[in-house]
Amino acid sequence: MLIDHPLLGLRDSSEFIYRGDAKLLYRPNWKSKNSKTKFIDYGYLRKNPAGVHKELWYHEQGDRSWLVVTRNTVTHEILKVELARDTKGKLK
Amino acid sequence: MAKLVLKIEKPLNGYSKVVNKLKIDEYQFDSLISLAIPLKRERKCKLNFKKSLGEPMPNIENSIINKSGILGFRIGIDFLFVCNPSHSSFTKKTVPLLKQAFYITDQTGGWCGVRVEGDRVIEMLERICPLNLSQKIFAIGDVKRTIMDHLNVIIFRETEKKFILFSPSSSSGSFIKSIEISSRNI
Repeated sequence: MLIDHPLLGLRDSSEFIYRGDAKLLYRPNWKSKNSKTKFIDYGYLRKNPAGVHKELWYHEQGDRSWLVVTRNTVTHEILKVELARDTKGKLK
Repeated sequence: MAKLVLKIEKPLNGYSKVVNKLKIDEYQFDSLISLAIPLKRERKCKLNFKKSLGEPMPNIENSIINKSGILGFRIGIDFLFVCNPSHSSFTKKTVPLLKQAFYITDQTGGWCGVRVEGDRVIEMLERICPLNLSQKIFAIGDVKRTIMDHLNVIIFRETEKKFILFSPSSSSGSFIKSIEISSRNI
């Protein structure tokens, strides 16, 4: 599988590590009213869709950047690749 | 009492071999440092880099070689390496200058360099390297960090048929073995 890195171009997926659902970028506010429920959701609950999914990938054997990869989990087609630092506030 | 003299041992002990008409040599350097750009200080770092090394800071996956032969290459947005093959004033003059803007880590003992050269060098590398090595994509002077035979490697293209590969010194024995095997199998 090839990942089209926004800065470096097409790179083999063996250079990357899959780090889970991109919702991990959004840690709940511990001061919020129902923070306990939100943290359980953040820590343990995943939608795991059969279809389009936003994922976190880390370019460990490359430029050490964090990417948000939009991937179809059924076909493995990669629809979009963004730097995680550029997606702040856009994913929810 | 006899005077003790400390002698630097290179990770591959000056390895040099020709395998299947490919020349494989240990690329020896005096020092290798990594530079990290502090958050929101890129402009200051660019000026400092130019002042310290006499060349503009390279773009991501590009490199510079200054008139003293010092090689600088940029791996990511905020991360560079500077390799000094033999320039004597590097540690005393250049590094303190760079320290004024960058976060610096000495990585000299952590890496080993291997220079591979020959007409069929691309064929040899294609067996272990997942990158597209055609000159349109990976031009002379370009640098990329990747994975070869499960080992982390930084690859630098010196000429069309000459590359320098930097790999962790702790696994340099395994790395040189995989280069040799790949060279034999072309």
